[in-house]
Amino acid sequence: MNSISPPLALMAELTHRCPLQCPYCSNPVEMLKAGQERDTEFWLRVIDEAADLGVLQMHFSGGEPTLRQDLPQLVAHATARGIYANLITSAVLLSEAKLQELAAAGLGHVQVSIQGAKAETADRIGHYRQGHDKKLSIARMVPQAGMSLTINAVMHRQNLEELPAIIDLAVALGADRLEVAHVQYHGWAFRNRAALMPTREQFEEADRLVAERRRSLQGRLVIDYVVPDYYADFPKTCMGGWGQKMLNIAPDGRVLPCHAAETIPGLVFDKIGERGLRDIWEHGEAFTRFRGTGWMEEPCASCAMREIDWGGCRCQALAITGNAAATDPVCRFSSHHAQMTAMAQAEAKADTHDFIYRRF
Amino acid sequence: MAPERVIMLDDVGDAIVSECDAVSSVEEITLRLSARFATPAENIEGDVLAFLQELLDKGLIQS
Repeated sequence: MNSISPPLALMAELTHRCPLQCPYCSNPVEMLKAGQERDTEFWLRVIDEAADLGVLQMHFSGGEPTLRQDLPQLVAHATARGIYANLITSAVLLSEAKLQELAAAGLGHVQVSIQGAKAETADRIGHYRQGHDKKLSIARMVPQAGMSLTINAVMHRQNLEELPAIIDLAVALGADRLEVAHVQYHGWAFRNRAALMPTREQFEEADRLVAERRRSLQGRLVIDYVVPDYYADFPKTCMGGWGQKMLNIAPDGRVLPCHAAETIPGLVFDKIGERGLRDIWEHGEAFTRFRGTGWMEEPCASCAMREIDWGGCRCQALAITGNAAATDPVCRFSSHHAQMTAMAQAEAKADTHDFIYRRF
Repeated sequence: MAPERVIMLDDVGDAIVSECDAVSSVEEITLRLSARFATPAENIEGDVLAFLQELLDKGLIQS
């Protein structure tokens, strides 16, 4: 590839620490401890290198990013460098004063996760007492503080029946946007798939409901919808294409093409400080490995869709087929597609509600 | 720029958005664009309205 466009967005995973223990957490199963986290100077440098590279948006995430006392300072620096700052939070550790401090630092957008519409359901899934009510009280303050609010709801077998109420809740909280995201089965979620996998009927009902409410709420609430991969016929354009739109920085400073990339054996991840961000993005081994189409095997290599979905998700290909360079098994043309669908259907019938909670 | 979205405006979109100032009505915006591009207002008012409605539906502007 001759010219590589700069990334649009950078996900800054400031920490893996989090008061919640959601069983579908996107963090790796082997999490980093507080002692492995990087200091304020490091993240200020990341922001400078990202701004120089042309990054437009930074997502401050984790773990729970509000555990970091330097968050307002980082937000202020990103904003000063012309980057749109977004906070992805569980909100349970925020207060009105902290929210005001972040707004004053220039934060543009807050994304608050909810685990259900009912406190009982939500607090069981997040494994955190009174978390749901706390989230709602903070979420309401976000638009009042002049920031844009997104509610993020991760959906699975044990909360899909609350989806209509979740949509109503997002409207009542004054959200501009609701993200209805079916669980992506990586990491913790892959471990918990017997307790999480929806039935095909549940997923079809969710599809129908989202389409209907998108129409009735047009102009009031934007609903983003992430489909449950296992029941799809074509793969997602994962990360907007490997190494094309986004990058992720882990709490220890490693630069990853996506948050789950470290599950892929043999990939070498560079660290900020040891190598410049632009050099890592353009030439780092982890980024060039699956960028573009040169790495593809059949049926991707000769497929008309290869520059649309870019072969789908590498981590999913690895998890199901054992080969990270295989076609994403979500694709109907993958030789593993039938096996994956059968697995989903079997998991959906599993007679368990018990979670393996995210813990260190 | 919007939450987890980046909108790349083309020249036409850029011209319309640059006239939005939180004060002017759609009619006033259309008239200014009409003068700026020496085009009759009735030729562009449909496009301006459709474009602004699309941005409104996506939550990118407020009325």
